[in-house]
Amino acid sequence: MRLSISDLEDYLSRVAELLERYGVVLDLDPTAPLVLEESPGGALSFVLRGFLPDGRIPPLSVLEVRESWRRVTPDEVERWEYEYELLDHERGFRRGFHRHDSEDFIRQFDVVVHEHCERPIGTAPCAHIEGSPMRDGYRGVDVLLATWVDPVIPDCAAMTCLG
Amino acid sequence: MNVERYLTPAEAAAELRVSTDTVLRLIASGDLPALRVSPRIIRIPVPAFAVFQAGRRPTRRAVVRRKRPTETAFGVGERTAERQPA
Repeated sequence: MRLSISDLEDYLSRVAELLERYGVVLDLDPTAPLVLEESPGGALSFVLRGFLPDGRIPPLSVLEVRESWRRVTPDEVERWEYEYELLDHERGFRRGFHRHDSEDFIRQFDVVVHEHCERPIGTAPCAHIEGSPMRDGYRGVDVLLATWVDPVIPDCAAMTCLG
Repeated sequence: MNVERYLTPAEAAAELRVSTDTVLRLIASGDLPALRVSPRIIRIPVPAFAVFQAGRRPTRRAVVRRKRPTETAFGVGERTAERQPA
């Protein structure tokens, strides 16, 4: 997935809008801008963190969308790393969908992406679980919400363990 | 748990006092966010329905760019205990 820098800014605002339309309360002031951080090497990254309102204070469900985009030309970037996270404290599980350290994961497990599953939170039967790539942040958000609404709690032990 | 976290299109239609077809049109147009979990199953997250029912339409936020002093670290805190220290 490659975008111009201005298209990446547009993409970030659209992913945040999608989260808010799903009812996620972003951990930001209502009118605060979103922040796209540029690292010394030129990579651009963002973090969107929010809560699903459940009438409790603090809310029991936390979502996080993190992405890093590396430069492929001075004006163009590609999504290189991501972490989409759901902590469901009410039902006691965590799901994570990750792409990072791709070369290490290809060398060790012959995969580019992996997932995490903890139930209860903090207890993982497997460090890294086989997963499918998320084509973009919109899909990442949809998967997190679909996991949250699913009445069936993930069975971490039944998932395919990479190691 | 507890309380259902989603509505079916029929349940949403009953809440809104419209037909199920109307709800499906709202979903198709993107006005009402919903998750298609299979070809025949659509789920409307309760918080999304609350936003819609309240007439709130989140607006797109501005984006600002900032320099950071270090590279972004992904893969740090692969386990929850590492991500969110007590």
